[in-house]
Amino acid sequence: MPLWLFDALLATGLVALAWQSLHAADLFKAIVLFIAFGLLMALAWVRLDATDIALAEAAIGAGLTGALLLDALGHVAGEPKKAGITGVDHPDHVPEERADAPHDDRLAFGRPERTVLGALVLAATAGLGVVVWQLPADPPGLRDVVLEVLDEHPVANAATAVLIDFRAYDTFLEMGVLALAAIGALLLVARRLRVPRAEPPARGSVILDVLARLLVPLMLVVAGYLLWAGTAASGGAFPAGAMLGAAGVLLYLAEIGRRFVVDGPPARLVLALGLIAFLLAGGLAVALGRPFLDWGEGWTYAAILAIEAVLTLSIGGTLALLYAASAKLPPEEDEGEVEDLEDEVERAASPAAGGGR
Amino acid sequence: MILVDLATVALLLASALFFLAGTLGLLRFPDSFSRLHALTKADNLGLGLLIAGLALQAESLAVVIKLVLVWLLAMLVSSCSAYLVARHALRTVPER
Repeated sequence: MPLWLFDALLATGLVALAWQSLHAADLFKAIVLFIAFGLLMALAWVRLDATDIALAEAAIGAGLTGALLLDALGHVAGEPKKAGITGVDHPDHVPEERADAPHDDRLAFGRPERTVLGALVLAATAGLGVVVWQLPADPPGLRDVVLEVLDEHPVANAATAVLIDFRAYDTFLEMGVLALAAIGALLLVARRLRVPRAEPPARGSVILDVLARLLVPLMLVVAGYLLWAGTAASGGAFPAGAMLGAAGVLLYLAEIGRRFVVDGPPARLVLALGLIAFLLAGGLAVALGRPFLDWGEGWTYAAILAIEAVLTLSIGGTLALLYAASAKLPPEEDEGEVEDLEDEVERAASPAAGGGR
Repeated sequence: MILVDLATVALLLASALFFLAGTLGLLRFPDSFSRLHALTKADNLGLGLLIAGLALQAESLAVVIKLVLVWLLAMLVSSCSAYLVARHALRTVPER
């Protein structure tokens, strides 16, 4: 069975899912299709022989981004009914809120603009396709140089070596970007992530609780394995960190972790850990007389593994904190204390919305 | 070992059939609860047949054990998430 048939089906599926996701009138359906698109994308990466990227895409792109989008949908829609999750789907059962809701999920372009745009996009895609088809199969570039150096390198996985050794400066700045994003999220909702005063009433489900208790240890083991295996096979800090973040999200959803995913000095330390690790290691290299972030002969493996371990913790903590920052707490947990930015915006908007109707 | 290959192909075809049936149920059933039925029952059986077909082609016992672990994990997570979806749908569906 020729493999190109599988590739053709995969490519068609990707385009079809992207089209459906963009054209879904219902935002919930669009998000679910986006998650499915992420999974097919991970398959595409595997077919392109980039298993590290496939792991990261499946965990972060499809998993965590999907969870964040669903949370955002919950904020936007208000009630679950508006988000399109109905139990019954009779043809005449249309929720009143959606019947007169404007279809502003799509951009307000007229017909001629859309045709021109469509033609331009098609032409650009066709041009790209022609160029890619004509690329040499064995491109000149850094690949041969990297593979040559990789032979004597203590780390056997090319992706890990490039990320933490050859291009360590890049990853160092990426940690800065991640920390900035988390700081931005915390700025919006910082006052909500306090330690709850009393034990919150158990609204969650027993099943979710048991599932979290069963799965989280398993996820920790898998994260540890991905971190360790990253030096020799596919894996590394980013997939392991994503797995850790997903475990944190599961703990938060099961309400076991509400006491831990809060905004305090330990959480902020976790956010900064990635940057700190790189700065310390780079500083150590400078102190030993080498350029910044240039690992020496004897301690390359140790440096890479140590940095990867710290990065895993930092990435996992950042992702879990990002999710917890956007999740909506039930009103009884705020207990009338200082409201945060979102409630003020809502109160300011509601008279305007009430007067506009 | 042509018999093993034939068995694998038969199991994979059966699994594809069950997945197709589950998807058909997802698309055509009227409400959330019957759709959940179709998804969890048909898809889990489809996954089991798929794992069985792949296990016949495995090179070592370790791979077979990993496949069985994947199957158990998928069953656990899919039944829990089906329960959670049903619980949510029960809360938000208007009483008939």
